[in-house]
Amino acid sequence: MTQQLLETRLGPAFDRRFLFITGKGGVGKTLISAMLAVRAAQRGERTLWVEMSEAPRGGHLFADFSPRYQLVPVRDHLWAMNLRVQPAIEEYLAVAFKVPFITRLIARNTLFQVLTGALPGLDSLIPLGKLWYELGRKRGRKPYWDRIILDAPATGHALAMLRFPQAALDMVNSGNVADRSREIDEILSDQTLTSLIAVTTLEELPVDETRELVEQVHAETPYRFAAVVCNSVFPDIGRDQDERFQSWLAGAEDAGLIDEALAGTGANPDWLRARLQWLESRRRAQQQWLEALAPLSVPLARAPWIPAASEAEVLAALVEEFSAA
Amino acid sequence: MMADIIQRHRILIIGGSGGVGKTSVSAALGIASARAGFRTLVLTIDPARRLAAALGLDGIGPEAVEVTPQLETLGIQGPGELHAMMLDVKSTLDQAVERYASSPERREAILANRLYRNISTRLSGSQEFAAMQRLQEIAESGAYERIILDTPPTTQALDFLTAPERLQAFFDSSLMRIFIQFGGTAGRGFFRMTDVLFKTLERLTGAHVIRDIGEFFEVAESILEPFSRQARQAQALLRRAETSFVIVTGPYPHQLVDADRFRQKLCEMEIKVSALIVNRWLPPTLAQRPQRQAAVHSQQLARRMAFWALELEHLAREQTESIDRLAAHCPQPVLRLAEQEGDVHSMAGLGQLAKQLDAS
Repeated sequence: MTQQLLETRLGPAFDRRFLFITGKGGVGKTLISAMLAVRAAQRGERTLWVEMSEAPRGGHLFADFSPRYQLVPVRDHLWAMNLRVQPAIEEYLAVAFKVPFITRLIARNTLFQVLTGALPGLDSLIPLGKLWYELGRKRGRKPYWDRIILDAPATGHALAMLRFPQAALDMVNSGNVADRSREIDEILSDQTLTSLIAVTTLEELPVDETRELVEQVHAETPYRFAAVVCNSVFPDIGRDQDERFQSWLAGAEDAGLIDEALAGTGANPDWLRARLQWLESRRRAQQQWLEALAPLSVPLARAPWIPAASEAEVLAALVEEFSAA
Repeated sequence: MMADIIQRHRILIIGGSGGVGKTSVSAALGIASARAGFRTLVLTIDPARRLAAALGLDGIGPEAVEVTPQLETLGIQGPGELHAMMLDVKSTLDQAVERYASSPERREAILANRLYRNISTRLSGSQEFAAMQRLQEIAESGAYERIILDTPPTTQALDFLTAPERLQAFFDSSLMRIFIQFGGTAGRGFFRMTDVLFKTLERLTGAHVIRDIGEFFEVAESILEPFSRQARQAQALLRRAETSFVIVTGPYPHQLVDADRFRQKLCEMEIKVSALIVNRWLPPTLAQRPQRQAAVHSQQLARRMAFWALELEHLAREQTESIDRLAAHCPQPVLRLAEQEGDVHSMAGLGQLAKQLDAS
């Protein structure tokens, strides 16, 4: 019954033009966002995948690609950038204040860096401003990008980013910061344009953090999460024959089933049972954490656990999984 | 091997990326150390609730809690003791201000300053700085024979090491000194660069922020010297003979690469690393490399069973080969902790982990 909580396919939330993807560190946020980007590009959509990291992972996922602030083509229809705060501030100063000679000098000053890093929200405002610019870009009459997928910072920082526009508008209602905040607020509020998506694994700490994030965003901002992606979900091997599978796992003999399963492998039944018992115990532990997400009333999507060691292999398998539908 | 490392070091610092099980391994090391007869303290930051419960840390403040009685369920008795403490890193930075501020008025001014609040909670590395500070106090007190520090869950593990230097650099920067000398806003116009900088900040953020900055600089002076001193002491503590790092990593290739890079960085900084621990390793259980099968979505139960068992076997081999490659070139021992079937966030689970560490 718990299995029904999860959408096996990706719902309409994933078809909006701007996907803001966050989650606790280590849950596969980057892989899920990259999968969505590749999937969109494969459909022929002009796609921008944006990392926001001091240690970007894009280089591990795509061959011959090294993430940087400037837009670079990754493959057909797919471009990527690493939206770091400091170059974004440099660019912003140059564009907004039209003082190109000194902007670099100012922005590279250590003290200025520490201050802008510490000032309330500047590190949220300026990167989001860059995305606002990319979302508004045109190619003729059509938008320049069919889809922008943001691999946003992990939960704590993402929460600060989402709180920022409202907090800024409460404090100031005119001037540069207020104008930018209003623009960003419009994007984040527009549920036909933007989907906020949280990625989690079905374990204690990530589930707790996801619940807190969604509850806080819903309580403190007008923005709404459109989906939670449960990543690395273990397979339900028993399915329609679960009773038979479970009784064998628990120790009952089932020569017919086991002979068929082991045919041609040269392995023995004890090996098979030990491996599958481990997998099943993990799956049950996950189901328990899945129940803890239900009260959020946000649609849950599922991404399967991929038994591969390399990240590029996991990405390829995820893309295949979600392109098939 | 691990038993030997515990014998030789009074302070073990457990580092590594987030999500690899650092806190569980730290707790297990604590158990192994208590079993070896030491009065041991595990210092941890924000553990999972059930792990905290297993350590007796649920819902308490930053006070040490004795966990020794629970060790009896693992059959551990004798002179060793296990204590656990949860670090409240935010309040430790405030504690430093409280201690070093020259007057109560200054202290209140710093603590209430919006810029300080932001720096103390957001400046990357301030958490780590606080952890180091606490470690140092406890190490100096001599209350424990072994101290195991579980570092904050950060993807930039090096923040932990460079935090003291960066904070010091911030307070030491010549511009900072100029501001302090001329009293924040009073110094405006005195130095061209300062003027431009302030003007730009003001246009970006509004005047109230500039007022905060000025105020911050005025009060920051009083904590500058003690802060720098403490940063230098922390650096020295890391390089003592009795201190060593243990790096924890997951079994996947990209995690091993990260761990190896961290190890190299530490070595360059002349900080001792005594072991790498690969947590959640899936050991191969078939003598031969299995033939993988297609058909994940098979309608037949037997095919699905074979597919997943063989995939697990394959994954186990890939993990093991990556670990072997790391172990071949890494001068430090690479220890492996196999995936456990039961709940690792319980005293019994941690005991199992400690046993594996003892045997490794």
